[in-house]
Amino acid sequence: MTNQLFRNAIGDGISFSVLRDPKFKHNRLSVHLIAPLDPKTVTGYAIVPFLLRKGCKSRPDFTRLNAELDSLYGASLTAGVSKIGANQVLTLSISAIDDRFALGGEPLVQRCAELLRDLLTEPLIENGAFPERDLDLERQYLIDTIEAEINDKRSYAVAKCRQAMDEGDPAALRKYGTIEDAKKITAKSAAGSYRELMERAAVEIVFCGSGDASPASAVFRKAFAGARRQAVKFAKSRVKPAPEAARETVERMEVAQSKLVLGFRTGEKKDAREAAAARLMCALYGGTPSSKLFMNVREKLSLCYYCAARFERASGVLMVDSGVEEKNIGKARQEILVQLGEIQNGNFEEETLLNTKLQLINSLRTVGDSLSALEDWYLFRIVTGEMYTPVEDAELLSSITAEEVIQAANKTGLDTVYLLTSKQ
Amino acid sequence: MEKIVSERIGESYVRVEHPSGLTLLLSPMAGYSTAYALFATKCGSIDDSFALDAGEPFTRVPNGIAHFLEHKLFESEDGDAFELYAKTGASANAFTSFDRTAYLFSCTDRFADSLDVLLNCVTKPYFTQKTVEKEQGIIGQEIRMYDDDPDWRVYFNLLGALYQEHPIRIDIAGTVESIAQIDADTLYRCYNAFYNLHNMVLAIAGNFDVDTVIEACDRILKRAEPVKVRRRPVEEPRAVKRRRVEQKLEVAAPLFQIGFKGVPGGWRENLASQIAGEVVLDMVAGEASQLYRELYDAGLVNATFDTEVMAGPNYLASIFSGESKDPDEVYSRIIAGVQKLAGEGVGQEAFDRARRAAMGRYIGLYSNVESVAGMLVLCDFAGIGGYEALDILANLKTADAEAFLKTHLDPEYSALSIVRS
Repeated sequence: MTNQLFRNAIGDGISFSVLRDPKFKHNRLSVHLIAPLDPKTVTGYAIVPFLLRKGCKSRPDFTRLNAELDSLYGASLTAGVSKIGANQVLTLSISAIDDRFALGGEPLVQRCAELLRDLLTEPLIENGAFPERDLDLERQYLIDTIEAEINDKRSYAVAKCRQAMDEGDPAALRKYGTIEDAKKITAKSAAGSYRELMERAAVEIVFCGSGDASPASAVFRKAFAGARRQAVKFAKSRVKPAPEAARETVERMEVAQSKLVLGFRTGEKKDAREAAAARLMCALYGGTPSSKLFMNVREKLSLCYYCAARFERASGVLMVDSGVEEKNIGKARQEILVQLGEIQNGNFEEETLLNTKLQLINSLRTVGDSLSALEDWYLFRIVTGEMYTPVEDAELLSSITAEEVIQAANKTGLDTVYLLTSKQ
Repeated sequence: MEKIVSERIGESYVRVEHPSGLTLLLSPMAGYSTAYALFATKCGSIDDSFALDAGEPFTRVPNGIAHFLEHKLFESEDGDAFELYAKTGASANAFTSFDRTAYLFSCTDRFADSLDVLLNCVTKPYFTQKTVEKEQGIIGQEIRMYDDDPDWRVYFNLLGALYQEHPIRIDIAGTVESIAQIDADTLYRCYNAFYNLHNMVLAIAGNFDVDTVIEACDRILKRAEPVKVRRRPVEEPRAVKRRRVEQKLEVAAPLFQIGFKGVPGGWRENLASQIAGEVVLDMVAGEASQLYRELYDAGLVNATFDTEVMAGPNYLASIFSGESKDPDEVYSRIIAGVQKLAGEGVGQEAFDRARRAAMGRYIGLYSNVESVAGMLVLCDFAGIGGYEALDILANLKTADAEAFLKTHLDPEYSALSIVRS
């Protein structure tokens, strides 16, 4: 099943994309403001979606706004921040059941689009500033969010390793920025960030769902008609080579289980085939329950509760992360490297490679079954500039040979080892 | 074969009582690429004692055995189910919760082959002392990983505060000490009691054919004599064990969970209460409520604040959770909010709005293959129709909300759990 996304420019640096699939029961409408990651702006921009979500001139009261959402059958309005390669993505999104389920025939697509438009284009900015109270709250929440990353030890460890790998590169910036910069945000500076984004960010509006997008498309075309902007282009990611010698970092905290993370670089990719080969290699290494890491480090040697590898498409970074008891750290680290060596030497079964492909293809085919997965997929394609469907990606992966996988493994080098372990 | 239809959402499923004793709940969904299969048994972490015959005394089994069994059923004499799924390209997993254990796979191709793997691995147990010992190591590490998890700890500490006797308060995986007592023999005894096909359900949603499923069941499943498993009745006092519990873990903002212990009936009744309860909790502290606004503006909660009602065969609890710099203050304001709503009565307008919002959420539950299969399993175990939740919600009255408030949301039977640095 190929879901096709249709994208049209509706203004200067503003596009409206539609993906329709009748099997869903919902519609999802999102506005993504996309700007290159920059230490000077990343934190200031991060607060904007959360401020916009609080209200607008036509709905100045947060509680009444939420009551309106309840009346729209529990429409869900979310603000978010994410990264695609070297770009920061600020998102405001509304999701609701389709008009056909509305008990009173309410035009939900239209109502949701109007609400989203108002939140985006008529924020509660007065005399060049957001309301102080809202700003104080959302600034604190941003600080709390940045600090909360410490709660999930597994992803905290991966993030610390990643940071160590890319010190100084804007693509390594954390998506919410820093606590230091968050503390400096004011009601005026936030209004300034909002204005900058509206003038210069690339605006991608995406409608995915079972319903008719035309009321939503009409709402946004009208809103942006004649808007004069200086929209920037998407930032491209830099792919770095592995260093001569790997770096080591250790951090100590009260933890019952240590986290060992190894960051690798897979090198420059000439074309789509090399990129696909790197992805397939990563899955073979540690992306499935039949992978080298799962079968050896976890199952055979019982060294870790989990040991997996993940691949970052935009930067070519491959992360191996594991949860391991202190006494097994050395052995686990050794075995993780041994298993990469196995792939580099071609020591894997053709059948295992085939099974890995099947699993990846399976995941790609499931993208079409979820509105959020579809939106994420296509937004990534839009920003990286290469449009292809999940099914086309599956076909490419299917054709990659064992030899190409071995080559990809041999271009992979260890960059950084990070260990989170208990205090001595 | 019985076909159950929901006019409301334009979906249907087929219910088959297979000759082997297994109940099949099959919901093909047009347009989806994925098939999602859930093979579940009505045995979870709270089933710590059972008896098979009328006069038999209850056998106590080590805590964590349901979860242990879940891990072991992936192994057979010839190898690992994951290896077999690898050949079919399916994505497989399993989970153990309080009242059920489920084995699942999802796939976009070779459904029949994956179904064979599922049916075989769950119905052909294989345990040896060696494989049991290996698993004790792995599960031991899993337990330690969860010991570090603030969200897991704040939740289980709450259950420990609310419940005095109920096995729900014990970690689903057990403890390192309790699983050390598990051996191959105990595993087989539990398996034979709980994994009888009459105690199980196979629910499938998405991209598949009903005939394929019936053919596979005919071929692989052996007819089982119905085994009547008696679970020991749990005598849980009305009172909570303690009103407050706090644990130190390295977190940024303190985490809290506020629980109200409800008065459970049977599973069916508890599920209906859950639906009423979700609407009530939304009215008390949902995003459109005055209380939420006050808490948010005072900087006492943030967007992680959430409400939930959990219902099972013999338990019912309401939970308010989130992060806060002052959880004790949140607790007293929630209590005040509950008392205020109970005092003022449930207003029709606010009730209607909350019910509409719930309707939207429940329609969402029938919108993806994973949650459809999950709902079919839950509804069957609880003894209600697969789509009945929608009807219960559509027919809900303010009187139902009042009843829930009075019976299940009594501040006298509540507790606060905190995790902070």
